[in-house]
Amino acid sequence: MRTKQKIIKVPFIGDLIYSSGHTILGILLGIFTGGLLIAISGVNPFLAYASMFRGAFNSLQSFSNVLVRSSPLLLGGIGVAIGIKSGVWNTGIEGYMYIGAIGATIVAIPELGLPPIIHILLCFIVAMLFAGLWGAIPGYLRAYKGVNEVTATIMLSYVAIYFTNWIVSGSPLAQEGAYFPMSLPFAESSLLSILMKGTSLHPGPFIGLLMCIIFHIILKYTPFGFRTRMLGYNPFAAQYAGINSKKQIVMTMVIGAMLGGLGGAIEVLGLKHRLYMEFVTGVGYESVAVALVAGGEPIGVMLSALFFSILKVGGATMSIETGVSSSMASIIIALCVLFVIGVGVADSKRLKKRDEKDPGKKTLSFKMEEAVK
Amino acid sequence: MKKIITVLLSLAVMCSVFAGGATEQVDMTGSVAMVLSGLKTDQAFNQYTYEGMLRAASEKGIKTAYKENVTDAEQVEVIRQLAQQGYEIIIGQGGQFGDSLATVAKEYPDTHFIFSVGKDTYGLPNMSAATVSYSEAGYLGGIMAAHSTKTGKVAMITGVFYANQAQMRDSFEKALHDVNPSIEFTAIETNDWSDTDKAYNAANALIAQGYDVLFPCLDAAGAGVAAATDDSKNKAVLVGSVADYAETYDCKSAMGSVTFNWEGLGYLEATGELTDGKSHVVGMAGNGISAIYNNLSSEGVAAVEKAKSDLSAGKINIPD
Repeated sequence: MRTKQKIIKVPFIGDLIYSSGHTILGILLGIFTGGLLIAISGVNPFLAYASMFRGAFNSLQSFSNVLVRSSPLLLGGIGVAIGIKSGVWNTGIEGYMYIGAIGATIVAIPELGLPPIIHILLCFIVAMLFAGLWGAIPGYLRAYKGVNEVTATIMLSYVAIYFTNWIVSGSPLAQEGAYFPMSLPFAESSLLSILMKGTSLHPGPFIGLLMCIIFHIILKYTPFGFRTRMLGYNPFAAQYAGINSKKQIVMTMVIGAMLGGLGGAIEVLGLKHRLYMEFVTGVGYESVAVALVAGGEPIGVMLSALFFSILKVGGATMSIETGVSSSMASIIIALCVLFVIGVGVADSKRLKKRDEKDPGKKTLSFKMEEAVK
Repeated sequence: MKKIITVLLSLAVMCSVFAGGATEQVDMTGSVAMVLSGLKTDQAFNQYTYEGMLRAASEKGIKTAYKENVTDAEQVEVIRQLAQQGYEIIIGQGGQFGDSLATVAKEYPDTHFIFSVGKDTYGLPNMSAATVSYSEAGYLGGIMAAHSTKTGKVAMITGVFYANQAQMRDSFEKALHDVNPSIEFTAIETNDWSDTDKAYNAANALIAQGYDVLFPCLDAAGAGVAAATDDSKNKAVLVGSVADYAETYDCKSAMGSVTFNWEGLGYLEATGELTDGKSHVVGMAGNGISAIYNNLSSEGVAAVEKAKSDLSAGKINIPD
């Protein structure tokens, strides 16, 4: 039985073959290598992984932590995944989260006298608007000026981070006399409700899961989705077919940014109830890895984001209980991503070589045709 | 490929089977857990407070746990996890932990929480706050700087002016003007506590403007200021804070330093001496800060010693 395979172009690396088999193998290799590193650090890897497992699944509370941590990864992951589908690398999720959170903060702080649901929706809309406008900048630069979107989005993320630093330390929204740069507290009506007592579980993860399903349907069954996929698979064919590729690129970048902004807004409205300096701490970049491991598929993003969250939440328990370095969970995540990419790239190179040796077989081109279908 | 997957899956199953019976009952009496915003090897307050907790553990035989590099998003979850595990004292090391500690403190009224490097107890009976006296440190540093300047221009360099650093700046400026009201003073932020390059460039810019005494309040970035004053060919000298600059950064141009006893603070927090629901500021009296002299004139040393006794006697009015 053959698993469904497709080709993804990774910037600076090239083609990688993606399938569920490749992903599982990559992840298992990552976990295995992580186990070796844990052993080298002097801790029994079996005990460490058991502790990680307990940390994520020991109780409903533990699993609620997994869900909470998956919220920004789900939204950021789809944001990047849509980009992958259209052939652009929307790597600015980190910045969109900050800008979205700033937008939400502006309307979350004042008591507007609105019912909570309206106030929260207003925060979401403003967050998406802010982030969407921010995302339009690299989108425009990529589509109309040919500026590399990876460079533009990463540079803009730094601008967003420093802008947030100013907002929480020098602007009228900043809390005076604070022991850490933070905004004023949000109005009660803007806060996301806690769904389970004694946990931080807010509706964010469920919004993220819902978005994954919605975008799966959009990408698969709507004209917008068809245009996006076609642009990603073959930009020249898309242009010849009359698709306005520039407009499509800007649209996918803006939608990805809006999803990232929503993720940022949910983080501040659901968790800390204020805007803090450096509150994202790399989750935006992890979203890129989430989308990559998911092969750019929104349904895959659901699994991949949950997997990353399990490692993160379980990793904290592993660190507390066994004394393994706190960086180990991040190292294991990085190893999994590297192996998923490595296995795919190695397989792609192997097939290319086979194609060159035996042009009659054309295995790789067959896979590419299959991917387009 | 299928074979490899099968082997790896088998290993994963073995892993979970082996690890199944790992849990055991542990006595949690007097147990302490510390959450750190940075690494426990950062050669700054994360490391030293952690080492203080370790000293308490070895002396008192208490169980300890820590989690380093705790990000903003995971603060509540990590603190809650430690409370669930039954740690009796949970210490949040850094100003960013206040809200998260308070959130969990409301859920676990029998656990004690310490907001370290902060002063707010959030009105909760099971939450205390503890920090060293930034005000006293600033005042003593100001006396040293006032007796070290030749051009009459003194500058303070810090990462960000949080509440503590702002208090330190104000008392530093007061000390300068208590000695000589005509001293010109400026205070700048580098927006980074550990970027030595940024600190080096900022210090050089100040030296170029004629500031001949620099007073850094930084973590690892302090090395950048030390290098700038050492490289200035006697145009500028340094009065250190937090760390002993002569010893830590081998700073030849250090006139003296006001050191923070983070290790001592971590020790006090871990031994349970600060779990009374109050805010504690540990100054000279509690051995929270100390003055170290390097190249300071005898007149300067005498002035600092006098300031120390005046502060202890309450003759100098600085907010704490």
